[in-house]
Amino acid sequence: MTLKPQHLHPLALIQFSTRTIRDTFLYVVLAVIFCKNQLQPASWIIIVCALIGLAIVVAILRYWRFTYQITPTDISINKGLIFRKQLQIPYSRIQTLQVKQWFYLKPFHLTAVSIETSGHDGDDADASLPVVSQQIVDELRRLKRASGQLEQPKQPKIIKNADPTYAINWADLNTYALTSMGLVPILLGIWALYNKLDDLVPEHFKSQTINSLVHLGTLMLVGVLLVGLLLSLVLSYLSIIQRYYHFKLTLRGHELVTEKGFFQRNTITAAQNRIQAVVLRQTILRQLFHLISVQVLLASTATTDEDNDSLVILPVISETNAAVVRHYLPNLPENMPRYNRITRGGKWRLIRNAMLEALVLVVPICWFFRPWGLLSLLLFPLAWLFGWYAGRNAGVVWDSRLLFLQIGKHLHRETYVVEQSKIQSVTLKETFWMKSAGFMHVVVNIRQGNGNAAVEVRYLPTAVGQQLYDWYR
Amino acid sequence: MSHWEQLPLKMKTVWRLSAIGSAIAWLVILAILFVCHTIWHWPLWIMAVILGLGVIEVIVELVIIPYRYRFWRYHIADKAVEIERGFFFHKQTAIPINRIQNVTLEAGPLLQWQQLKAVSIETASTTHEIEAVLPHTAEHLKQQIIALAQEARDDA
Repeated sequence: MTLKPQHLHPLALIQFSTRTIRDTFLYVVLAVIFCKNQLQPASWIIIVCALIGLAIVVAILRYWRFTYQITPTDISINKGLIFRKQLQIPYSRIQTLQVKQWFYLKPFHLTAVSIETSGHDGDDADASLPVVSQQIVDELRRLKRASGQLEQPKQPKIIKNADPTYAINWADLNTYALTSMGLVPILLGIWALYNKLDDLVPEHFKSQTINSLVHLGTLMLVGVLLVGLLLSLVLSYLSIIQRYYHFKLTLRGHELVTEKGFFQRNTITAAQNRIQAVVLRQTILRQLFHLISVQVLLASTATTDEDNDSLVILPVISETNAAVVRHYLPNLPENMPRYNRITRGGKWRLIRNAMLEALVLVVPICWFFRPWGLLSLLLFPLAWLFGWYAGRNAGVVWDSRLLFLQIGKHLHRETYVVEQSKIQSVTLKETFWMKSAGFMHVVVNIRQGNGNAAVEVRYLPTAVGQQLYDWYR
Repeated sequence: MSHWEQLPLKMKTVWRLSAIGSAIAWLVILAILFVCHTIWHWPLWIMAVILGLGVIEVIVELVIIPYRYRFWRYHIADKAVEIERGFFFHKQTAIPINRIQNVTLEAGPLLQWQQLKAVSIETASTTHEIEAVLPHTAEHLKQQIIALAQEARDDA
């Protein structure tokens, strides 16, 4: 235990410097663009060197001003160059602990720790120690666990078997990566790739390429598009593999610990009772192969760069094997109940709405891009499919404690299982016309990260919506 | 206090005043456009369009006041706060009292003048608003929610 204020590990200096340099980089670039002609190359080198020197000095000062102190009851952090900031966090207030380790820090046994409490402002963790030794992390974990036990002294002593652990195997990781891809990430990937190319390829070369493309004709264009599509698919596949590499889930006492990542090992520790909701996500691909991905919503920003802002618990398991989840989330029921589905009228309205949205897009496209714009008519069958899918998968059901919500959106199916006590509020919405036809939308608000996840089940029969509302109230 | 409450009647006055406020805002825009017209010869039809939009907006704001008032009500029971509004676009929200984290009372100049307060009810993830209540109701509400929240301590 270290009672004296401590500095970070000296390697933090390198990280601080690179960060300061990265932050000032934009200004340097701007300066270069604006005063390109005024200065000699030699003076440029001096200016850039001076800036880097300044960044290093700032980093040293920041390193020197950053101290932390681990006491038996809390951790305190002192930082700030000009404005001093002191943070103090009692261990019992810690909600999630996130540990990130870059591969290049591994040989030194160094990691970055983010500590979060339940307060909710800002997007950053409440406190973070950018570069500390593994020992400190273990110490923090131990103290946090010890403080938790003080609060619940009557924990029955269970005979210690090994902690339940799930480690992903290569085949599952592969399946997860392959089935994660929906339509939207693919399109985004293509767009990003195109933007990258746009920056890299010199202008005259590009116009040349385009000219030759025109000569080669449409066939070539289609080929290029296909190659781009394939490349973006491969890239998103690799990035998922990278992120969930050697994924491991452990239940330690009442805490869930997930560990994953190739370049950066990312460990998140979250208390079971902090889980806001369990989400089962299925893309249409996963549905075809009867696979589900189990995720949880946490009141924590540790998950902002995760898949859909929620913590992945089991990347992919088969529906028949889903009982495994109950080792880690004992609140879940053994069997999923039967849902109150929406009626044919509701389904028809969902299809109608999707078609109307498509209409809004199609009319101007057809009008302004006369011959080729007609291709956008293909959006109609797609919209019909989206609406049909949404109608097929919408439903709610509840028991005395748990609410189950299912929605289908853009060929993704999401199933939310949320405890009544974790629902922040419920809203019923209906227009005059829906009321006379006997439909209403139900919005269930659940905390997610530092914000709100509003889960909306649309066009439920009025009676079901009202019963749900009365159950909640 | 477990029956449905309407907004205080004075709220109609506040809404009327705020409609007058928007009328003034439209007039200011018109004045600016007129200046632009005299200096840079901006075409007059811009002014005509803005005038039309302004007149329609203010009239709509005034006309829907009785509707807004009639279909806006709230209800504070032992266990939950409920807010209901609208007829053509009906919306009904339930917030159990033990989910409430914060109650904020606010009053802009118009509300202050009419001695009313707006109440924001915050949960761990959402914010809901009761547009206006009388001061003693506001105080009562705050006390009640704090008392109930202390009873049912249920941290997010």
